[in-house]
Amino acid sequence: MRTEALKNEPLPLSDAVIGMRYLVTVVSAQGVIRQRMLDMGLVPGARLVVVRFAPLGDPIEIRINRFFMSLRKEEARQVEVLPLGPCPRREQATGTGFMRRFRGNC
Amino acid sequence: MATAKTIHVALAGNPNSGKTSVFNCLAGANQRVGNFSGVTVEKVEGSFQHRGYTIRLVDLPGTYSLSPYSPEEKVARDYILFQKPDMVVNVVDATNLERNLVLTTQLMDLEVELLVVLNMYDEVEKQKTTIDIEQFEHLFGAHTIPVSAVTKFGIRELLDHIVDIKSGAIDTKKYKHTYTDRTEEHIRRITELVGDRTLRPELPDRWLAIKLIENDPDVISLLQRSSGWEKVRPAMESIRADIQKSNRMEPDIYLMEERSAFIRGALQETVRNTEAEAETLTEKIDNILLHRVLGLPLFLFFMYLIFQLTFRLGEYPMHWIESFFHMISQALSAVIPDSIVKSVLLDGVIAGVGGVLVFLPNILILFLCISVLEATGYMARVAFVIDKLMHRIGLHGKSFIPMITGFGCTVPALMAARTLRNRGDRIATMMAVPFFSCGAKLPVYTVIISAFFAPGIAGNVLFGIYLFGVLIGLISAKLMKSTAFRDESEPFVMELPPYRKPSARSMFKQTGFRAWMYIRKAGTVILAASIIIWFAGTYPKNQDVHRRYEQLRQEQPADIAKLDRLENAEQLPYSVAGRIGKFLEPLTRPLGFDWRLNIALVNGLAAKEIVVSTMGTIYAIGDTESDPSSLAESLRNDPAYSPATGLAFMVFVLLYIPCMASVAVFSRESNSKKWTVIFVSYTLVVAWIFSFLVYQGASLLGM
Repeated sequence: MRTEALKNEPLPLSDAVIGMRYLVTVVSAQGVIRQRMLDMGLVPGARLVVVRFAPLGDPIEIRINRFFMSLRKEEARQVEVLPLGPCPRREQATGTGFMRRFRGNC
Repeated sequence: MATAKTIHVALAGNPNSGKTSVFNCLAGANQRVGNFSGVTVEKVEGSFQHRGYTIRLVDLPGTYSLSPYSPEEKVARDYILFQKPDMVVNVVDATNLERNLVLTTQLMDLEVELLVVLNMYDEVEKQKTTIDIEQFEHLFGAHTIPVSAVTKFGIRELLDHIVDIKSGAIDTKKYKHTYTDRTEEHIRRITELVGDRTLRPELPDRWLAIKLIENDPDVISLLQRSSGWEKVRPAMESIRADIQKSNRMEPDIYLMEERSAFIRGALQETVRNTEAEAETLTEKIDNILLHRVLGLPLFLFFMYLIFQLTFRLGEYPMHWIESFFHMISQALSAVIPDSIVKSVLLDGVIAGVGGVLVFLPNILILFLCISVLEATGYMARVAFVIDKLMHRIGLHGKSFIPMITGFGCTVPALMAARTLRNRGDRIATMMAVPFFSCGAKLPVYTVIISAFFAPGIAGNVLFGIYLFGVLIGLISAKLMKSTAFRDESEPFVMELPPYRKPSARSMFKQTGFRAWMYIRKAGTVILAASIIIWFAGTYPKNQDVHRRYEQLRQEQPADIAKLDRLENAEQLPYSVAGRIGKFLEPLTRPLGFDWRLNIALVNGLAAKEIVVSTMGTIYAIGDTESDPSSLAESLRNDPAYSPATGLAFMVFVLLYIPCMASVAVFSRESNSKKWTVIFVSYTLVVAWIFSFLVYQGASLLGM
């Protein structure tokens, strides 16, 4: 995993891609936003998956373990992450083709 | 000793950890709802007996941590620090331990008597997960019991354990240290310095030491004033520099990382999951509700539904309330002889009480809807979906609901701003709400538009008025957020909690509480205001006019109703309201309003519904039917008015103080006299300026 991570350059969380896993490396936000991020588990060393962007393109929804949280791109810009590759497929519920189209990517 | 038999317990936990359900299980119906002193954070307290002990349970606000950044967190932390409960029961969502235990580690820092409750344990078992409770207790050094508030599993044991800990029947474990040896060494160094009792002896030393390393602004300002500070500060600074250097991370982040690492390690040793993690129901629902294409239309549909329920469904009970009060006043009118008392009672008091209660259906339905949104978890999605637009004017996504509700009625809309936890966001939203034209203003527009504008453009004019209001509202919010509340913003970093089935009982309870608050606080003010405004519109009377009409009434007894109406119209200029109208004329002449329109506006302070009926009274002269079309006709034929006057009047009605009820509610919700005064004067000034511009502009264009 480490070598895989090292292959990639760190990037701001705001530029992350849906369905990919990331390792949090730096939290540079300050004040309330920083505290809130830390409280919610967005700390260096945490692994997260980008779940989706809101219909209007901002905010972002991410998942840390079983915890889903959202943050604005402007806030996500202050978090640096390393890509860890695509999210391993989770067990998908069976659904019709119609329902499948509504599914997120991970 | 009586106090020995009382156990003071504080309930702490993350939002969405089921803390309130646990509270309800324990306290049952014995609850008191209020606010924590000095802040509008709701405080729920319950008191009950168990095995001969009186347990006083205080439900602290749901928080993710004990940092000093939000009012809720401050309240929770100060309560534990300064009220010193006998024990803190930490409710933890057992299906989401990694997140929830962050607060637990912070409670451990406080060195309080801690009882950890692993809530939702039934769901843990359903997920085929096992938690080694014994090992968990060993690692966290806190007494731990699994419960499920939903199935009531473990609730009795929880009560037993609370009593047993207090009576000493259970040995509580000493805290394990959550940090690395090196950090513990740092903490010990500062603890020794802090512990020499020159600082704040009533606060836990270890906690002070940790907060100093984290550079907690509240703790620093607390300690700065004490004499021992100069000894502690250099040590604190050197340790902070040391952590910064060796970890290339700021100390508060570093400590948080150590806590997370400790939690991760502890969970690896205690939690076994035998089944692959399946996509949860919440994820499936969100795949639809937050869908890139469907998300927005679904959101708008829900908002539309709430609006329709609140105001269309609310219309029926509103009519019932109105006809109920109409009935009462007719019944009383038949019984009580004509007198001032009768007048006060019927037109002042009963009309006033009716005016308070008439909002109740709207408030109840809207708050029930909001409770459903909050309890199910969709409220966070509302913010998620619409935040991009709201953020442009500096507000939070959650401001959307108060704003659209403003189109129905300003009173519930202002109350809906409660969902905004940040004071700056809340007041900025409340300042914008009155400009979202409420339902009661529509009849005014209808009359004025039909008086001065061709039917062909009526729709466009009306739409323009509404749009103008929205624009002013958004600009006002932006203005507030970029001046007075520049630094007060709710970060959007926010949980999207799992969807849950709401508990009907707690929703009705919450709704009932808010409705009662409205009646008690706003109701009294509205009632008093209605009576005052009624007096102002009725007294003093001119005796000459009165005598003349008395004579006429005796001469033409068949026309009493018409004569009464004519007398009212003729008496109006002599009343306080009339005099105010005349007095204000110099101020409103640049807007094109004469004293008669001023009376309508002054009376409109009570409620916008009164504007049209006051105008009806004024123009009752020579007019038997005061239905809108003939009122419109009187206005059109009046040489004093032009379409420019009409436009300016509509703009003024759109923008000035919505009504007394809204002022009362604003004062209650903002909890600030200063902001209530600003609210009143701001809406008045804005109304004057724009009416002036509109009148002068339209007159120049020859309207």
